Amino acid sequence: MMKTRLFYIFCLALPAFGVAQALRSDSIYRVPEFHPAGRALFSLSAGGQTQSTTIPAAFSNRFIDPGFIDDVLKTSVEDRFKGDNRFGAAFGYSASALFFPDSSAKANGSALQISAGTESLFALRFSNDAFSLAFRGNEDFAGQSANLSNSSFYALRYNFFRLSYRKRFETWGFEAGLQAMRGVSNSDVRLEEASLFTDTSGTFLDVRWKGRIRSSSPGANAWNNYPSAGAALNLRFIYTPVSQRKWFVEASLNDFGFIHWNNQTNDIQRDTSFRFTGLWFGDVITFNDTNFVLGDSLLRRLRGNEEQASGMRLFPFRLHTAVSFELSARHNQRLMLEAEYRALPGMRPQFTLGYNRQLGTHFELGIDAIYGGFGGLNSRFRMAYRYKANQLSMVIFAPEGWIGAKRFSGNGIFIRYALDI
Amino acid sequence: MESLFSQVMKKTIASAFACILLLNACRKEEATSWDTRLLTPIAEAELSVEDIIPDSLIISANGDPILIRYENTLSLIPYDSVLQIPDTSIVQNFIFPVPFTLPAGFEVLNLNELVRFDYDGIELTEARVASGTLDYTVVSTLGDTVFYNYRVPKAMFSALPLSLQNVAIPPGTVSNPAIQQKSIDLSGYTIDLRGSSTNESNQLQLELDAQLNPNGNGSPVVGGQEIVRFTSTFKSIVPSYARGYFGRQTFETGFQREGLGFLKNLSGNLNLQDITLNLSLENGIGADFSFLITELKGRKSTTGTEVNLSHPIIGNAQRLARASEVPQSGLPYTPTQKTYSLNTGNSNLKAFIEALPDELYYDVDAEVNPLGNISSGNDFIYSSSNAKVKLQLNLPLRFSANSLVFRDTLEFEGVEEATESPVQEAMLRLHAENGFPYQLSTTLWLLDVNKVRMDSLFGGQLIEAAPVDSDLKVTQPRKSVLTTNISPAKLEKLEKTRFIVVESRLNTVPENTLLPVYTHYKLKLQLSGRGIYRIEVR
Repeated sequence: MMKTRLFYIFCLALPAFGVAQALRSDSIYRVPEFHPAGRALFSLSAGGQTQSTTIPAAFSNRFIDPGFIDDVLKTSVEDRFKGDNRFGAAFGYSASALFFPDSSAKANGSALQISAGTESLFALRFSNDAFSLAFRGNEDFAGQSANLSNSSFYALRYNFFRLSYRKRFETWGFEAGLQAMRGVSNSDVRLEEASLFTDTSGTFLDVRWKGRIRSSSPGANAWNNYPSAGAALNLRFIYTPVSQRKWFVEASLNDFGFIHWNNQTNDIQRDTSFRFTGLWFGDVITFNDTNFVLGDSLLRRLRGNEEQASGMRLFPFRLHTAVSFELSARHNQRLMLEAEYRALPGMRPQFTLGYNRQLGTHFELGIDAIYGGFGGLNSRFRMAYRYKANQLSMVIFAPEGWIGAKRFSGNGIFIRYALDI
Repeated sequence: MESLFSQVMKKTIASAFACILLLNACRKEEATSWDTRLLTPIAEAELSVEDIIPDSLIISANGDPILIRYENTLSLIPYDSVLQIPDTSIVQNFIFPVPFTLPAGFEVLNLNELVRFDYDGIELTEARVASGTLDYTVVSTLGDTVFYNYRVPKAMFSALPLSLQNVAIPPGTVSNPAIQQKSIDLSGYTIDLRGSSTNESNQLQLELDAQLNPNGNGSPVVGGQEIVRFTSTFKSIVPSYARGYFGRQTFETGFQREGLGFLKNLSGNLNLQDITLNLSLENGIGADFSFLITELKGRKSTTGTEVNLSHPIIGNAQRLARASEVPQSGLPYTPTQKTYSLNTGNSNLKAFIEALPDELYYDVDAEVNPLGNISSGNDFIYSSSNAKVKLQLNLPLRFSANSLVFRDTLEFEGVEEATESPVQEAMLRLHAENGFPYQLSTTLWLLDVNKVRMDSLFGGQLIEAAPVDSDLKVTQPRKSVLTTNISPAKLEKLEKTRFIVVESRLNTVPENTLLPVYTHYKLKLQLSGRGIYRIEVR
């Protein structure tokens, strides 16, 4: 029973950001314990979450469940302006199989796991003016300058195939794995200094930007071309006194690697200022010949000479550490402290304080308080149900964001089904 | 309790799954969208006189007001009328009447022929060939080699006559004759066309003799059959110089049309300063020449209005004496010239131009040697010679305008049709900085595919004139802002717009004052937009 409970704790103690991480949260340590008969495990997982210092769930939900963003929604963001605003989102799904290569492996606590899936990550850091400019337009800035400095946008979509080996010893265990990745798309916009001044009468825009834009989009049918591919390393350690299992500690480094983006990659690095006064019609009498595309014209000025070349970029790795204490053996009540960080622009270290308890023989519940990451203070509700060989887990991230979507930031849901095979 | 809780949890989890599946399945095609209020420059342009009138017509020096100078030259005599010698051929053959074996060295041809060039009324006695060839073909059915000599004794090159000696034609048969084709380049040859007597014209003497191989065995021939044929053709002969009597030739241009495109889009009341039109006649031909401008009229194509230019030169024949063969200014002859000046005092030229004709029609007749052959056959012409009319119109760009209208129709591809336009509403502003002393009201008419007016933009709002000082010179540009609202209804019309008629009405300020125009005058236009733009993210 104790071992089962421990599994649930690990299973539900999901890293707060990064669905791919959440999707493989089964511990190296607990699985052998959970499978004393040496049975393998197959699981399917899917989920997504958003988190923000500023943007309430009702606003970000508009990008998941499309609809019109009205002034009330915009105001709900502006009322929460922090100056340095952050937003993050992750969506993904995966399939995973954990198995014992042979009976000796089962006996000595070794296991292999393969998993494959896809994940999308978004990380946004923006000034108050950047939000107003994007969602209100520049008319409100007539006669003044919108400050867009220290803003960034990062988006990544990739597929992965992962193979890991895990080994349990008496009081500690480790997992080491390699993953191959295919980059689907990546945008990385960093504005160190940026501003937009709008003339009162709209006759000119003064644009200042210093920063870098990198975007890769190998195309929908990238397998026909030289794909954007990469590799990463995963390492995980866990320690627990085997005698009592009253507590354990865990530390991991995941996704430490790179993707080499193919030549469908644009890299623009500029430090420039210019005044945009509209399309120039050199000869107004024969303006029919002019390519009348205003947006293109402005973008050309913004981009300048871009380079199109392949390049290697570091993957957003993740550091994680956790410690768990048993509060009471009754109902398997445990307390967990967790700290993690993922190398996404705008993300801060995230700390979690969690509490778990068992309900009956089939249910395990948990509740967490989370601080940091892309948001402020958030909660998390976890539950798991096990019946015979079936396990179903669900994590509701920031339930307050579901209930009070206009007042609270972030929400998300993660579902995992696992089957002993 | 546990059982109940278990059921609730099961249902909760099942419902969550169902919700996710439902969300995916029923995912609306709707996009995430929001409205932004944009204030942005759209386009800018600068208009100066050079944008309306071709640079080549604008004369401006030392900061003086602009002078428009329009020049054109009309050649009255077609180049090939005198100088092109008609292509002419001569054919000679030899037939032996009875079957016979021709002995070695038999002379099969001995010709001394005059080629007559078929000119109509022109009697050329001498020509220097710039280009052209003498092509000839020899056909022989004789069974032995034939040797021939071909000479044009009065076609001289470097003081030597054209002469081909002892040219051989290989043996042939009746069924498979020997054929020889040659082409002699006559460029640089001087041809005496006076024939053998030196009193004739348009004639050239050819000499040809051919004999059977004197060292052979002779050749049998069939009676009554052609055994040798010789064809000579003077082809594409263009002289660089010709002399003789050019006849009494008449040339008529017919009713010619000259487009004045830059005036096409203008109409209304224009008052110009004095204008002059200089007509310069030049005769570079060594023959007397007369010409007659039967009619010169301007036409406004948009209204069909016509104005005839009146001046003593119109309708009265003018005569020009022949050029003299005295080298001058790099030319081998000295042309004769006559100049006529048309101005406000002696013609209706000002009214003619103020009518803003965009088409010019003229009919000019010319005659060479109107008095006949008074030079005793000593007319001459060089390839650079012609009878020309040079026209020069000087129009100082100093005018007053009263509702002078510029109207032009532009094709427009239309705003991309969309189910829902991203522009919810907008206001366009045209910021004008006018450096011209003219007030301008502009309307953009929106026309559908059938050119039916649907709506308008800017509705005749005024771009104010720049103020002028006592010298009638602009002191500083004046700024004006024109606005037009783009409502959703107007947006729909913009989608259907395929033509835009730009209509600008020009008035001089102060009124009825002839105001000079300078090259530095400019009209700067900038279009900005303020509106609600819907952004959609799918």
